[in-house]
Amino acid sequence: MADGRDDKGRTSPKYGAKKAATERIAAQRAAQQRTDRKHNLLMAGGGVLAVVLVIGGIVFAGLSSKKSSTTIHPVVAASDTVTNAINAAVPLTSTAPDLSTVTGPPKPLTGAALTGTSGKPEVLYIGAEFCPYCAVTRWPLAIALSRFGTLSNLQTTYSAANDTGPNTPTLDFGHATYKSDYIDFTGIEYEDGAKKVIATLTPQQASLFQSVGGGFFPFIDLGGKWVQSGASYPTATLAGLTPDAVAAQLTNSSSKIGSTIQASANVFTAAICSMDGDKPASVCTATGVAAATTALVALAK
Amino acid sequence: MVSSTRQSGAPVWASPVCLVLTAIGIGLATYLTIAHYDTHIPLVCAAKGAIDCEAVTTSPQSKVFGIPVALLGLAYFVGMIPWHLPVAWRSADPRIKFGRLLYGLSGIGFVCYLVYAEAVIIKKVCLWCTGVHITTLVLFVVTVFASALAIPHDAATDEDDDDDDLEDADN
Repeated sequence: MADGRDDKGRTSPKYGAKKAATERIAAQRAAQQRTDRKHNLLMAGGGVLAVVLVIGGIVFAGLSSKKSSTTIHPVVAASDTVTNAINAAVPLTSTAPDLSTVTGPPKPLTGAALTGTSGKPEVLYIGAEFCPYCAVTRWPLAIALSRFGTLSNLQTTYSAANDTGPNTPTLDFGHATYKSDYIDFTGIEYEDGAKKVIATLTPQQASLFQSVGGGFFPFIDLGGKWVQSGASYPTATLAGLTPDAVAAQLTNSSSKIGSTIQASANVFTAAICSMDGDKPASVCTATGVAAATTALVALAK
Repeated sequence: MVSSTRQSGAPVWASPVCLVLTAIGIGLATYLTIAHYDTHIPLVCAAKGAIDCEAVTTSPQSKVFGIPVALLGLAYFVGMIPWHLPVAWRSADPRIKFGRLLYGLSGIGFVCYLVYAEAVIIKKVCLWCTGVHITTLVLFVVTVFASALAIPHDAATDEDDDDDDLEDADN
């Protein structure tokens, strides 16, 4: 019979011996497999531990190594070339520049309006001197603000040498003053070229910077209606230049620098118009600004 | 005598777990690839701290031989799929087993370079990139341990063969 028993239920001695041998072999195989698995797991654990130690060592090396020395660019009074160029760019609102160059336009906001110390709608700028994205954004913002009032005590500098878009030439709003019949402007350079905090934010400013801006530079709250978070155009646009060289291009609509900054200035102007009731009309109804307004409205939908 | 097929003995969870991890890696790498090419992603500076994804993904170290690292990562995870299919895990062919381990190890080597670039050169951390690194590491660990537990054996049991032999001996 198949189970080794005869018709009287008896097992042959030969069958019994072979079955015992089979069971013994199976047990040996199972034990060998357990040993092999244990050995393999130990090898695997050792290999994984080695990988983790290597990666951990790299992270430790990075954390413990001293930071390379950073060249901190001085902040100096803006030259006449720069201030004259900004003023010369103010009236350039009659043509609609290529708005596709504005890769980072403002985004619409809902909520309470933002007003300044004089009760007027406020443009709140919070940036940092090291920040390359702030560097490119200050140029068009300065032009836009100059269309609604007088921006004084401007300074110039460069963004950090060891960051993305190194040494981007720029303005500095840290000591700027502003007078306008239509809006208030508060310009805060919160950190210097070495990322050291050099300014104090009010509780409201700190709250807006974190909740609306996510704690990132540049942060521009335009009257509580629009927010600019990040660069308005790529840093490569101003690569390798000086503040005076950038200024020389501000009124040149045919140059990439001039057309890009003018386009971004018109976008900021349109945003300011929307927050101050479209005043003055001479600025807010100009062709270039109207085109930017249309683009911003489309963005808000 | 019953003909048998050699099986890898890999745990049944090996293939599905590894495929899920691979899918996660593909998702993260896809996002980073899109972010690399999309100029409309906001360019922002982090207020102090080491976390700055833009600085990492736009750094000179974000390309290897002119190819974006994000794209290389995506290709790596897509290439991982065949190694973790159920048929591959069931196979006892040692070339598949060791090929899978070597492929995973190559990913770990690249992760080591990227971690070095972030920690030592750029000194900034991109959280999305760190997610890819962790996924690669976890996938490698799972692959290693699943391979360690896989003891090759024949699909048909030897006990059946032995019973047949015993019956023949009695007859």
